Amino acid sequence: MTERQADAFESVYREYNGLLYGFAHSILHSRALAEDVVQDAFVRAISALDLSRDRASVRSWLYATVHNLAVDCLRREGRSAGEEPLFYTASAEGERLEQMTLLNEVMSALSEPETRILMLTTAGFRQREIAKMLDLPLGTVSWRIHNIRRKISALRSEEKGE
Amino acid sequence: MKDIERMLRENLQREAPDHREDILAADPQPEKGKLRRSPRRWIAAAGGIAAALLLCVGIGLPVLKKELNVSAPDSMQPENECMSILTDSTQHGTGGDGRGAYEVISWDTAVPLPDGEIFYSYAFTGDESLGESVLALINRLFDTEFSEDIDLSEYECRLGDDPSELFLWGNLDAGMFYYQHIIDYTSEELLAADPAVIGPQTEKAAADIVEKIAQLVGPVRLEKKWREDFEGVDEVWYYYRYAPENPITIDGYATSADLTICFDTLGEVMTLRCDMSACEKYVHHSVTFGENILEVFKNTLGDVGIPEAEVCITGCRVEYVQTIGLENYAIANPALMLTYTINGEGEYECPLLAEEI
Repeated sequence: MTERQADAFESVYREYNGLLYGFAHSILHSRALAEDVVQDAFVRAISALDLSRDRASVRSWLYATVHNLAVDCLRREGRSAGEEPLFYTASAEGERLEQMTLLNEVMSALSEPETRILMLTTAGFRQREIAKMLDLPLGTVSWRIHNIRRKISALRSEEKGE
Repeated sequence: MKDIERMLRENLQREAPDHREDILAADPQPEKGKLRRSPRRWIAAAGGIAAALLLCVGIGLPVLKKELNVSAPDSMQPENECMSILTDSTQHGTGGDGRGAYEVISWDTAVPLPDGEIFYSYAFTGDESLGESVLALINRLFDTEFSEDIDLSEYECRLGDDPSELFLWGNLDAGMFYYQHIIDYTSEELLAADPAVIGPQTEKAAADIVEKIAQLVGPVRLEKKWREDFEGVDEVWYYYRYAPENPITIDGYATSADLTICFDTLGEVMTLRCDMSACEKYVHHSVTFGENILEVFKNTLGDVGIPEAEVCITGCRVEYVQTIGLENYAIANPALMLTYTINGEGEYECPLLAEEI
């Protein structure tokens, strides 16, 4: 690997490792499997992709690959690969603990398709791109995002009420 | 949502395991690649091997050999999780179980149930006599255990990933059942023209749409139900209840519709939804009514700064509903399917209940 490639990898990895992990987890609900899938995707990316090319296409490639690998993994492991929350909170404390707890609550309040969509909007995908990636009609994505907002809003209101 | 996304981003970047050294150390050839798996995976794998060895001792080597013969991963094809089947809905019938009439409309998604049976997604509407019949159907379809006195008003069902999504709300106590069938009028291109129009003028634009409806179908009583603003998002959703003052009546029952208008001031998507709804009474929607609604959208889009948009009704056909699968529900009425495109793209369908044909 040349220095340029190594720099490109470093930059892409730093930006997307966590996000891809979240996306994989939204499909697999298993932290370990999500880790493996993301690793596989990056290994494939190194051999198949020029990581220094435009960031949007690298991102799309990575997400599509993680999606496919996760789905394959799901097939191998069975439909319910796991039920682990996204964040492991046992060793967290303070604000970090609060945030991770809230995020776990959000994830469990959302349906699985909504969780996937939230992960993609978090990564900056536009609705049209999400629709294409998940093979959904744009209107469905739009409607689900609406539902995500509604549920998050309800959750935050509950929080404030307490 | 924006703050959740930000929080999610930060926490994922901080908490996600870092395997960059393993990745860089791996042979980039997928066939030869040896990844260092996460410790939990190794523990699981070790457990699996131990179990297999025990199995081997107990049952013999051939079994172990078989256990270890793991097949290669599936091809990297996107998974189509929802089985979509274009229905050839040619069967129809009318009738009832003797306890009241209701209608079923159907569209093109089939949902495989765990027991292997295929149910067609559908929506139905009916009057106070639905009672246990519908409830039993709901319970069977959605694997729920609602009892007759349940208030379903907060319950939402969704079937498949078909553009025509099904939502069900109902209140059986009040003798009312309500379905809402979401019809999407969404196109990113629709907004390309002039996002600036949307935002400050959202109220006016919404009112314009309503006005157009009034012009086409007569005076309307429009009750603005609520408005939703989302924290940190320049998006406004308006919910209206549309009810003609002089209702179009078919068989003595009034037509009605819920109109949802979403303006996304970020300029990405505008959604106009006309949720044909049936509540309180047994309701029919005529094809004329549907055409009128589409015409309103077509005419109004230009007025709110989207001159390129052209909604074109490309077809209208009568579709009959499949028998649902429960003996007592071999009931179906014809549904009219309007097919339309937006800017020549897409092929959206708008199912409408129709009077007997």
